[in-house]
Amino acid sequence: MSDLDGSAVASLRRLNGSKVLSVLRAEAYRKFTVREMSIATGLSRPTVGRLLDDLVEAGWAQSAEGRPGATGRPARRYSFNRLRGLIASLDVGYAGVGIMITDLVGSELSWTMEWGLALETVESCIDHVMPLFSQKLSEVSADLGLDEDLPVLAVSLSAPVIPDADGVHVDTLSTVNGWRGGSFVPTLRERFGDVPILVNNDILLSAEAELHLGALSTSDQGMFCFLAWFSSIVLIHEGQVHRGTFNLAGDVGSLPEYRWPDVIVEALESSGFNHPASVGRMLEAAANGHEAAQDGIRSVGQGLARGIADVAAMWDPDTIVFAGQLSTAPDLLFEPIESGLRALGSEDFELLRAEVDPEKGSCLGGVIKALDAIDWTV
Amino acid sequence: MPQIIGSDVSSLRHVNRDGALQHLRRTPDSVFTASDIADGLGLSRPTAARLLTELSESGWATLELAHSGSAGRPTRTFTINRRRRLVAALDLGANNLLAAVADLSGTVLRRHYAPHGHPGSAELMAQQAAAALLRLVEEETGPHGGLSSVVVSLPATVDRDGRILPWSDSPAWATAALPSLLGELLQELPGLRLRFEGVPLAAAEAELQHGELQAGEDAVFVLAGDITGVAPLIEGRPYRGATGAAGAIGGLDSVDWRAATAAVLEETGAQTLDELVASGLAGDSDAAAALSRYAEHLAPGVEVLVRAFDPARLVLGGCLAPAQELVLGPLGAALGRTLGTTPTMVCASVDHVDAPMLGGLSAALDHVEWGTP
Repeated sequence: MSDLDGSAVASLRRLNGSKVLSVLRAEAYRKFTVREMSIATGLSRPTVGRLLDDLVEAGWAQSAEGRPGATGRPARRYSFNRLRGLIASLDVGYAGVGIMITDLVGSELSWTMEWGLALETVESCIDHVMPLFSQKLSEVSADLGLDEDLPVLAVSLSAPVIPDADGVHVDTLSTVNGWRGGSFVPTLRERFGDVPILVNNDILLSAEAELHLGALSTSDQGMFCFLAWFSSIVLIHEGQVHRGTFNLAGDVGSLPEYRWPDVIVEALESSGFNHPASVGRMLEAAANGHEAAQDGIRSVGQGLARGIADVAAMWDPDTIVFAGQLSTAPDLLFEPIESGLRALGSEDFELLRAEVDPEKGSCLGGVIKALDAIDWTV
Repeated sequence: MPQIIGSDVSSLRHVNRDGALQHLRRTPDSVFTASDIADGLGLSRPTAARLLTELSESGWATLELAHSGSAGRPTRTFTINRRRRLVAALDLGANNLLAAVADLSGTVLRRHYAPHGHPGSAELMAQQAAAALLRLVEEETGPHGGLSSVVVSLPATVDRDGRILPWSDSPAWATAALPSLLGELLQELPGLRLRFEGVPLAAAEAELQHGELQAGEDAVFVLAGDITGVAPLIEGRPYRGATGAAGAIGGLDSVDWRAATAAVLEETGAQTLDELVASGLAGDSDAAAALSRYAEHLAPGVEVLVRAFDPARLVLGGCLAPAQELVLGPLGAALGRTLGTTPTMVCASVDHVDAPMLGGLSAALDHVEWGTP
């Protein structure tokens, strides 16, 4: 009988354990018998039985007696322990914050938003968000009947920034002045410890959510047009968000050529609304037949149309999805945009509105990225 | 024991033979033994020897006996038979027609370059192009296995289905009818594979093979001059978009490079951009200043490109490329003011006259039916 290298055996066991965990996660609401898991993984029943017991001991799986059948002892069943830990997804901006807590399959356990804030600095943002997060975490624990909070296994922070490799913010046009050059990472690291901490641009995360959960899920070469107080475009290449070299791919709205920030401000002012939070009020007024608001919406559409058409001419998308607060606007926003796109001469793309809730998009995208960042090897 | 189906063996043989042929093709100046091929492809030596013999018997490889000087059997060595097939490229430019015929190593054997006189229709251009190509093939004496594939580059977009989509400033002859017209005129070349490509992509292909575009990198190749156009690359591969029409810069409102070209020529009295660039490089300060202003005219369109694709590198090709810093300096400064972060900017190093032709030859080699009788 050959001598097997102990480290090779250990590696094989880890590999097989990860395989079993991966099957459990893929069907997170299913309860597997050893036999069913053996079929799913191609591993022998004794091996699978041992690995499932290891996973139960490590907290990644749960086991329960099966239901009695006509004959014989009911087989024990195993399922993924979705509450082995939690995902914290935070969305921060100057005027508001969103906090989402999910289980390990991304099911929402808690969601809250606050508006009307004025978070001038990174420090004031953290000082506001962290106590709120702790409060929500406690509420989740109480809802689950737990005495202690579950561990947070990954954290996503979504913000109007582009982080560099060290998590320091790189400017975008929408970055809050007082946030430039700052970093959320050190404080998050202190609070959450050695778990994956991801800082990403909020619009990119919204695009990720739409790609996985919404109208972009069948797109190979798409465009995600985020239309709100700050508007931008995210490109999809081969079914993934295409960030480009400096994470700026698609972001033409910031070019002086297109003046997108001015387009929104001018529309608001001309229709009698003059605060970022008024975009929602302008939309509501337009829906109620307010003529000045409708003119404002139309001028926004005209102002955004050229930039959207120019990027479409460059990118040649199969699908264009409109997201953000303005995506709920009436058709008079989209008429000039669609007209500009059709003038390109191609009828080969689909124009769709986003399916993901615009308020939750960045947090949902953050949950997706956080789940990917966890080391699932056993 | 699992059953091996005859077709599986035959497919495997075909795959291995193709692998051996591509191995020979990659270094056309090298000679290979059966051991070299066996090592390179992970085959047994007898299998490699059999494949090479088949390639030699079918004319795709040339067998030579190498005597080592000692009293042993001479070694059988093989090289790619470069003339088993020929390939060609036709570059139909704004003013000139360039035709070239090459062997399987990509070495240009014959070349024809002349003004085309701006034919007024696709029919007239097809006739000129076909005549130029057929003449080159006829002039190519020496044994060869016939013309296998031709790639035609032109100032228009070519989509994934090979349809020509003229730009707003494409010449009158660059129409959807051109492929079928040219195909009919080249029918006397049996089995010829004819493909079309936009000039920017063809030139970018040449720059990828021989110039400043890096494998694996996001980049934008900009053609500026008599023909303006863009070829974006993602991870070093041409990005074509959903329908093959990506990079249609002529459709941008902010970009009217053709008008900018006409304006700078009128302002300076130069007949062509080539002439203006040559004057600038020779020290003519007025020409240099005009080139600087021209580069600033390009900036708004280039800004849109750079912000849309966010490349690591921007390569400027076409007539302007020889101007180097006379253009890159002002263009880089203008981009820096608007964009902040800018990609690495360089001028193309492949000669701008030959670039689309060389890219076309590279593409034509990819479309050869390697290994067929």
